Amino acid sequence: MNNYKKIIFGIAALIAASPAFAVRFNSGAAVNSGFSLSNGTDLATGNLVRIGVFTVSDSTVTSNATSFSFLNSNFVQIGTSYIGQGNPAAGSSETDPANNGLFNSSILSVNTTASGLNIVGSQVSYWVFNAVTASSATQCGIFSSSLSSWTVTSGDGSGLDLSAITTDISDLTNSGAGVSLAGTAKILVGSLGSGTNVSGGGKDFMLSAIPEPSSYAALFGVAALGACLLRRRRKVA
Amino acid sequence: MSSVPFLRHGLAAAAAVFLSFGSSVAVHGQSVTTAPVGALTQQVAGGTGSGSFTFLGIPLVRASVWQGALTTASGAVLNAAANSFTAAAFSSVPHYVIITEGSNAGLMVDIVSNTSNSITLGENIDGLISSSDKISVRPHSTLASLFGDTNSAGFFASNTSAAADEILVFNSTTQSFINYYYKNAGLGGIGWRSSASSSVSRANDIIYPEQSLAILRKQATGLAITSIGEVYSGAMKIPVESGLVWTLNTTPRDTTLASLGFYTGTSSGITGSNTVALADEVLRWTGTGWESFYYKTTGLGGIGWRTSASSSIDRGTQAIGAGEVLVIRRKSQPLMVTRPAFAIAN
Repeated sequence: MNNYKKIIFGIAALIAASPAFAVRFNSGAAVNSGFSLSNGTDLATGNLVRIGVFTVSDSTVTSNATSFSFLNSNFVQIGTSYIGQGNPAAGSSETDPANNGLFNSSILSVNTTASGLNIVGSQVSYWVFNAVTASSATQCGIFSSSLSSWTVTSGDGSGLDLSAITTDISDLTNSGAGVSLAGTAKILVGSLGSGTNVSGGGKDFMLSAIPEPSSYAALFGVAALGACLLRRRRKVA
Repeated sequence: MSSVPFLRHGLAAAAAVFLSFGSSVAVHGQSVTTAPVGALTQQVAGGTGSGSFTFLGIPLVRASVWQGALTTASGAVLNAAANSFTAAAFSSVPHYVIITEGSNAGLMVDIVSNTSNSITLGENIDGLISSSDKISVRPHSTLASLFGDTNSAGFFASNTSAAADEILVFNSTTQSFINYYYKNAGLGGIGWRSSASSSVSRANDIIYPEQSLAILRKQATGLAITSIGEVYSGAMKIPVESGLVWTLNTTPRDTTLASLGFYTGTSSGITGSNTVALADEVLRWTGTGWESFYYKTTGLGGIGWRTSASSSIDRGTQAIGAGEVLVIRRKSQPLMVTRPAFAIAN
């Protein structure tokens, strides 16, 4: 006995991929620890997190902690995020205060090779600000790790490269538990606070006060004005 | 008769329709059922310079050449009634057994040889199969069966792999790609070759049902690839080696990440964790990069399928297209995941 059934299927089953440098950067403060202001208050949602690498030594970064322009000129940015991105605390939205101090970030297809950012072998740093933009920040923190998982690898330029660099600020704590500082932690600017993140439950990494860039501008303006006056005096003389 | 809506990907340049039918026939008192059969056309994107990749999954298998019950099963040897098979028929071209009924339904094992009433497998599956199980014997898909003995699919052929279109197949055991191409001239002859040897025919190299392909097209024009095969709607066990496994949605229908059967919450599924750094990952090409999914088991953000972009937003309903290529990044010991059986709509 034959019992035929006719069925029609529709299918589209493939994806074209242009060659792409394929290193993916997963970053976050979403496991235990988060970030806070220098007074221990969880960093508010929307504040800027820059993800990248410094091209100068750790000690140079630390010794120039108050020189935004110097640090900025020696920073290769992979991407940016902001506190609350990815809604890590499952709040009502990314701006829910439950996300204070926390973030998730996934940056796809970064060309890390010499034809791109040229950062292979460098260590990822989080440069965190207490404002939406760096120029308006009064506090910042710079955090990294000597863990191999924080070292930038090379993409081969094709869609076949599945490289990923996955980091979280909790990596800077022992067992990622967010309680005590790991020996591999690099706090170039800032500190590990004594308080805990309200949602994450681990200790917050605290920012440090920095001169406002506008102060730099004012100082630079005063110096320039002084030099100008000096030249005019000499000219008159 | 009914239709399943076409899947649309952001970058998908492929669309196809296949007509299929199933039948049930009584033969010598034994019911023989044939699965739906269809044709599938997929578009490979054109590429210039070093070429352009298209990730290709073919959710069809070759038709069963025998199915039925065993009489005994021991070690690597399966026995059936006398004169069930044609001696050596399953080894002249690669065949495999899939358990269709039994506690390990979906398990697929390569056949090494066969007599008229026995099959010798490539590995001992004692404890995984019993004499009361039913099996199906199918020829494997190969480069030649999928793309033609003489490259009827129309890939750009050349005397070197560097110039020809390439078909990349990931070997999960060695964690490396094998690069195939169709050689049309020069020392070493003509036919399917790999970049490892210009003279050794690779026409019968197996493309396993759970294996996906990466096509590197080096011609500006695209290419339509048509595949013909059966829809296997039973459970299918997919080996997941440590490291990367290039696989696919082995069903010819849209499904969701949660429905793939990859995560079970037990040792029969991939590993979940509170962070993507520790969990096994399922990677999906977005058109600009590989999006990473993992099963979050605890901690801030809750429990369920997540991406590295958000530890709280549930992605279990992420659409996975028919045959869509997926890569599993397994971070511990190998395992088998089971694609569940599915019903085919009438």
